[in-house]
Amino acid sequence: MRRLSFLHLLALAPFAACKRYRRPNPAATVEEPAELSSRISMGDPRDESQILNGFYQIESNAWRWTGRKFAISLRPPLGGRIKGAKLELGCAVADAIASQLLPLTLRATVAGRALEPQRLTMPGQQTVTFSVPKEALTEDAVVIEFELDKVARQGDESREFGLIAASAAFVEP
Amino acid sequence: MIQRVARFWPWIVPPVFFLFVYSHGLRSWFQQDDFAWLQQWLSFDSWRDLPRLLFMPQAQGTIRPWSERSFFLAGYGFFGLDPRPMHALVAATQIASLWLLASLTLRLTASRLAAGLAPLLWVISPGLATPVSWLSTYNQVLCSFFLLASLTLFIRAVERRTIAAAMGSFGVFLLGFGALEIHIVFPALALAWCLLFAPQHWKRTLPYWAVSLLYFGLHQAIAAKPTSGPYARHWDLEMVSTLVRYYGTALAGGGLIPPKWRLPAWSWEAAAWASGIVLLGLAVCAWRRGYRVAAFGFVWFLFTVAPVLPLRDHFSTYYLAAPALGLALALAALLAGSGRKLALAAASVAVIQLTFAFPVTRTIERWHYERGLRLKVLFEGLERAAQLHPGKTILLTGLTTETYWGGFFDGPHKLLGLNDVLLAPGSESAIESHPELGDMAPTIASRPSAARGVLWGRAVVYQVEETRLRNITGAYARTIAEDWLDGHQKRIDLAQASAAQDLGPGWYPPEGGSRWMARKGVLTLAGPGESDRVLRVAGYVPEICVKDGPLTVTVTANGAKIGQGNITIRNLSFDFRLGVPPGLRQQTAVVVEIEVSRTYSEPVGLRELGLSFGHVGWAPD
Repeated sequence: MRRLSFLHLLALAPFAACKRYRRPNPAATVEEPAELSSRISMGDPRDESQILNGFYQIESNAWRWTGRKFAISLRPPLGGRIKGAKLELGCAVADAIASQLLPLTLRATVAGRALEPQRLTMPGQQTVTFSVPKEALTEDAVVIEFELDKVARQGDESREFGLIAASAAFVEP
Repeated sequence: MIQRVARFWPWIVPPVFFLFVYSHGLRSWFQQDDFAWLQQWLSFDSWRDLPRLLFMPQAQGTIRPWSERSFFLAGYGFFGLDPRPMHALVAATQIASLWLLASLTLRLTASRLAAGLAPLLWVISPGLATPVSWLSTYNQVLCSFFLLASLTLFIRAVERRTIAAAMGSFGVFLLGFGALEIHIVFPALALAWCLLFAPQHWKRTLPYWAVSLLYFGLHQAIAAKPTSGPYARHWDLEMVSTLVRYYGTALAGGGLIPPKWRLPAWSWEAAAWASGIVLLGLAVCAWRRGYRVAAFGFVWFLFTVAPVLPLRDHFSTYYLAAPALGLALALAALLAGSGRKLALAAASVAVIQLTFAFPVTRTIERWHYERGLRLKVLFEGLERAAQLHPGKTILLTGLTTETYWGGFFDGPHKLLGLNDVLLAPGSESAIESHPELGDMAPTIASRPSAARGVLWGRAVVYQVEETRLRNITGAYARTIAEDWLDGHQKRIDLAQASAAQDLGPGWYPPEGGSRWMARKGVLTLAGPGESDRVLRVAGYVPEICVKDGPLTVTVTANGAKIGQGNITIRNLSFDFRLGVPPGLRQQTAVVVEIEVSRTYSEPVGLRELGLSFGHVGWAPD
């Protein structure tokens, strides 16, 4: 009986191993030269180079506090030159400082071109969306500058806290 | 010692020669139907699935548990996408067959020369080239093995007259049906052997006939009987010309003449006719002298090729794998045991076979090897692209007809869990259409879908090159005209993530090969074309969704109802074809709303589930 069980296990063992990871061959494709991304995640260290100023360090591997002014760079999407794009900022207004901030106005410029300001009235997670005209998306990379009309201070800290930023991206309008 | 080794040369030299001849074919990568068989693994969730996977009729109603189902299930299960162990099994099976043929020939002719020549002549036959080089045709190799093993054991059972020998013979015969349907002819081969060499034992074949007749009845009840297409059967006089063509191909190849020889194209046919007539004449002469082995070789050829003669439009050299060994047996017997004059004439047939057929064999096995290499490049490129661009649609340009039909069409990327791999629009123009092999349309991205995917970063474009895939997304984006963005697709594959851009409210993200909607799903299609007659709405619901009675599905287009269908336990996989109202043809966009009469509440996740869809779109019929 024991021998039978052993044989049974022996027969099943390779099947158990069959879900093994296949390592893709790095030479199997030739990629285009690395470019800036059209979408960044504030918690991803690989996107660090596209976060220009106005942000604090990564928290919980997912987000960063912003100050009053903050800036990033993004690659305009290929279709942006034809139809323009939407700029989405994934962010949150922290409950702890919501009473100091709300209502809040967020202004943005893309390549120096001012976008229509957006008003935040609710605490919690939200996506703030700006319409970006195609004329602002003609370069291979653009700088996007944000500015809040209010910031908060907590306790004795001299730092200014604005939004909790999680992501930023150009998406299809 | 040398003398002892020399005695065994018929069992040593042919396998070594076989491994030399098939040095490339036995290293071919997966191709064509291989991917469909490998994908069996994706529906193997528990051991309870095994009987269904092994024995449920598939592909023209065939049931080949050893040579296809378990061969690929175990091959992929144990070794993943490494074909070498599977090729090792092919080689081992074929070498065993070469040994069996050598033994059978020695038994029939009492000549070691014939015993060595028969397997050598079989190795050079074009009939073996594809079965040894392409894993999906292992069934031919395994069938030859079972036929040879069954006959060898049958002869032994007749000679020894023991129950054990008889049981062994009968058991192997029964197992042979799991390799290929052609095994049904074994009783005829056994009877022929009896009538030619041991007439008093012919009654021993009766149990074998009973099994074959039973199998024939079952197969007729289960197997598909197409009346059109390559697998349609034509029971007419054309079977004779098909037989002659197979005979000529076995002896002189199928017309692939090396260009450097500068011979006219018809020369192979002349060689085939000459060698065919000479070989038949020699067998008749030998028969008149009482030498019957060559006749048995011809009978073997005739009986094993007979089942495929009605397949007039599916002439395939690989069907010659088992029949060719009969001709090899006949020629070897004539070369070694029929007297000097007949042997000299037989040598001329062997020379023609070496001159015309052997190069064809090498060409076919090399072609399979090179096609496999190209598919490996494609597969590894897709694997890497998916790693670098997770979640994005992969669009391909630069696929050739050979690579497309040789593998891409069978969806190798599904083994990587990828559904969104399509031809970039326009790239299909470089690929020949073969309606008999399948419909290319579902594998081609529409212009709006490709343009929006590429321009908004949801798709990447790769050019298939000789040794790798090249990312050309940026260059491709510059060729996209603005008007590509305006249209919609005529047909939406809802399993693809890229379908989301044409979907309105009511849809969940894709899961595996489908996408669920809630009670009502909205999508936008381009207007139907002139040739489109129906709106096809195809999908699946699990049995639990109809336990409280049939579901009614109502479909409207631009607000007007165009049809309704019911789903019951009988059509859980539904495919409604609803007539196209004439007014829709002028529309650039048609909003289709699909509503189901009742939904099912998911126990985990608590989603409201209506129907699970494969695709929705306009079609000619």
